[in-house]
Amino acid sequence: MNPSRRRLLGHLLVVASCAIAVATPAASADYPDKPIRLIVPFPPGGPTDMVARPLAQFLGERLKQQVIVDNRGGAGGSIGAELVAKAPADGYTLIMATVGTHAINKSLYKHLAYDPVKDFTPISLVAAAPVALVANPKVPVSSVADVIALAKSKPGSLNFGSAGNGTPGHLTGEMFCAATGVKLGHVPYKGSAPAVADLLGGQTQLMFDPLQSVLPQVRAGRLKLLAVSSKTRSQAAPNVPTFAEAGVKDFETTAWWGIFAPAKLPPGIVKRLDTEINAVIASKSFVDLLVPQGVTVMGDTPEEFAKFQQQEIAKWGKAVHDSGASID
Amino acid sequence: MHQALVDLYYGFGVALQPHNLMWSFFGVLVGNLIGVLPGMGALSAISILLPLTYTMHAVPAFLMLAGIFYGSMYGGAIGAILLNLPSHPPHAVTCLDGYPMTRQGKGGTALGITMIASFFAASFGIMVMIFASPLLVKAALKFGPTEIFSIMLLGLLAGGTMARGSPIKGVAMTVVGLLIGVVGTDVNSGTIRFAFGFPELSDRVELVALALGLFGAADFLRSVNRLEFIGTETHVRLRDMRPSMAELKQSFFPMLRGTLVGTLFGAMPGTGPTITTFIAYALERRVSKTPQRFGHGALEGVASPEAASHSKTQVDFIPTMSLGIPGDAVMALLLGALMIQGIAPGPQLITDHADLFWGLIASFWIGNILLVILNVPLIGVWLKVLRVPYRMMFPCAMFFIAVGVYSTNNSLFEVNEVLVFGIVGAILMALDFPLAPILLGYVLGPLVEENFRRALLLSRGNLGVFFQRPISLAFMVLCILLVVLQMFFAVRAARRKRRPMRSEPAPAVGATVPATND
Repeated sequence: MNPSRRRLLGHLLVVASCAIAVATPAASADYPDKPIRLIVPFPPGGPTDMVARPLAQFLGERLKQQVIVDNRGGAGGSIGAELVAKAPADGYTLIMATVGTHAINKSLYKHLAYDPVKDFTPISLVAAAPVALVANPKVPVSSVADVIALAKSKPGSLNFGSAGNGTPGHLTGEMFCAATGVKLGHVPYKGSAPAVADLLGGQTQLMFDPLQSVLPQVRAGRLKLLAVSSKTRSQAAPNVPTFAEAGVKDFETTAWWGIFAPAKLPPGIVKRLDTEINAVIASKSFVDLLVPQGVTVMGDTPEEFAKFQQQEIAKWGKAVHDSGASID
Repeated sequence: MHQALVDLYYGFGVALQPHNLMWSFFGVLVGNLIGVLPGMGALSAISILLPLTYTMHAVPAFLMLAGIFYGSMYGGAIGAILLNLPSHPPHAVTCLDGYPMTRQGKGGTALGITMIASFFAASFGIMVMIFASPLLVKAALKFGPTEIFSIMLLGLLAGGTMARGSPIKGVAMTVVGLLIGVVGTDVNSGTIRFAFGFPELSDRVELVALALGLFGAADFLRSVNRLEFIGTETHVRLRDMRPSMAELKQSFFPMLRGTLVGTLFGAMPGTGPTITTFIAYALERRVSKTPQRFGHGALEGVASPEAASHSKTQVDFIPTMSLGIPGDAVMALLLGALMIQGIAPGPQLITDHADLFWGLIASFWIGNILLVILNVPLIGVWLKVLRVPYRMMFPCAMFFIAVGVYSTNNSLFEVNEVLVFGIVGAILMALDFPLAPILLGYVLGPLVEENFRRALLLSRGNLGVFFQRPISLAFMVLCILLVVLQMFFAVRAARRKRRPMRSEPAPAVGATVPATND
């Protein structure tokens, strides 16, 4: 490389860096200059952790700063969410929010220590999973219509398990009952794993649970997957109908995960995080990790995410109210 | 059977590859060290090391993480036996007889027996995994809420009277444990019970905090002004650690019974290791011809629960690996680690990733052998810990307790819980109340309640369901027998008392030992 060309490149670099410096406010110009903490409001190993860990790793590579996953489980995600709600809005504390912490809990809990809208800055939706209706193979049903027919002809014979009161699975089950007019007994468990175990053993007949928790059993032929609750079919199970296709009109729910920061995060940082997170979401390595598990990756803008959250709060609020579920 | 052996041979080929062997060794080493630290469980160790595995190949990554898990079990008993400080809740029951043994200068023997029991039970668990997995999975699925309720009820009845000393005090403490177990969010109604406005308490009282408070902190608080050493032995030779032939014989059947209890509970996902060890201890006391020796350094009381915890640890991998259903939080995290590697856990895992599955099983064996080799020379080192003066030991141990308990949930609330339970425990000990039943009530109570209500929910309120299902019926009959026999013995003893009595056999060794916690 000859000296004149080197000088030219040097000039270009200076001009370019000046342009960047002008374009972004001073506060966020050098963001991030220290590790970022991503709060996961549930214990390690759970579905939320499974979305958060790869995201943290790839995001860290893009930002050239470590993104540390910090599991702060407890009280249905409230402890972690409250921690982020009260954290400084500097972009160094983020939360892997869920449909529970940032939509359902607002209606489910009588006293919530944080406001899922006012206390947070939405950044981006990251992933979503439909709720699946699965049945023990010994139950004589092979479609949603069969379930409705059986429940109507033999009332009280069908029970559905769920990962707990007020979980997306439970509420979707209650919404299903309301939409179809059938009565199914609800049996709550402490988490997904024990509920799946009892479904495999035939203690319960049906279960509503986010797709990724039951997919391994479905693939092994130990559970029958009857329908998924998303608007479109799942890439992980393309030959399974949606509820709408199976005859339950206007029926759509999803469990989702997204990134929020504390309220009043400077717009420059919001933009930077949104850009980088959406780049991660679009990357093949991230998609390849999540899609086979039954999780769909979802990117959007902060504005879309805020609107989505409002719709979700309204939708789940009605379901919570109709089901009578409550945690005080 | 033949196929299993071929697969196992293949597995050893995988596990013995230098690279895999190295990570496996690293895992058990970390696990062993973590296991010694109070409260610092495999869960926190694995979640800290998880990012390291992103860039690794799946097999060595999983061998390492699994190694941490079973390796941590080996370290857990050391604190319980030597310091009356259970590093993990399952080992709390080992304190009951392990610590009295140390005070009698037999701490080395207790550790030696623990190692033998651990290796024996782990090997048995691995054999079950190799040859009986499908059978066990089939049996495990037969255990619904009805059956689990009946088994847990039996455990509660058998365990409620396991403490030495006044039976009324023992039962009272079991009830206290049940009450502590009630704290938290009710699964069925969502009502938060006895949380007193603390959101942290809506997830139950932390087991690790309860165990370390009652068994670690309480004992320390009681002996703050004690300035002597714990042990009486001044120099320990390798020979002292080797249990004698008689001792080996004495502990063989307890070891076997403990192993079987652990295997049974390992097959049932959702029953924690703490329940397993307590039930093994209670069973041992029940079948013993000399139950009065328990709590005063009975070797059986160490061998059986330790064996149970190790076979449970290994058998726990069966529902996790062959059903894809994690038995506890650590297993959930291990499955999560697999998913990050792009391997879907679940029933097809064994066929789709045979190298991983059989490599893992072979590495269990190699890992367990490594652990024994690692630990036998270390026993001498641990015994030296006893000669550290109390004024130095106490703050160090408290420091490690605080760090370990903090790591369970990254929160200071749990550390405060230890303090509260420590003070409560010290007061109760001063009043000569046994503390072990509290822990038993705490671990069993919620399981009994949850499964009782779930069984009734499923049967639409029909109580007869507990007597209609055969497995449940068998355990219910045992429950009734236990109560009837207890009453029969009580009545007989009361009658005998009226007649002039010969002098009661005094506890042989416990007389000179000041009452520590039970």
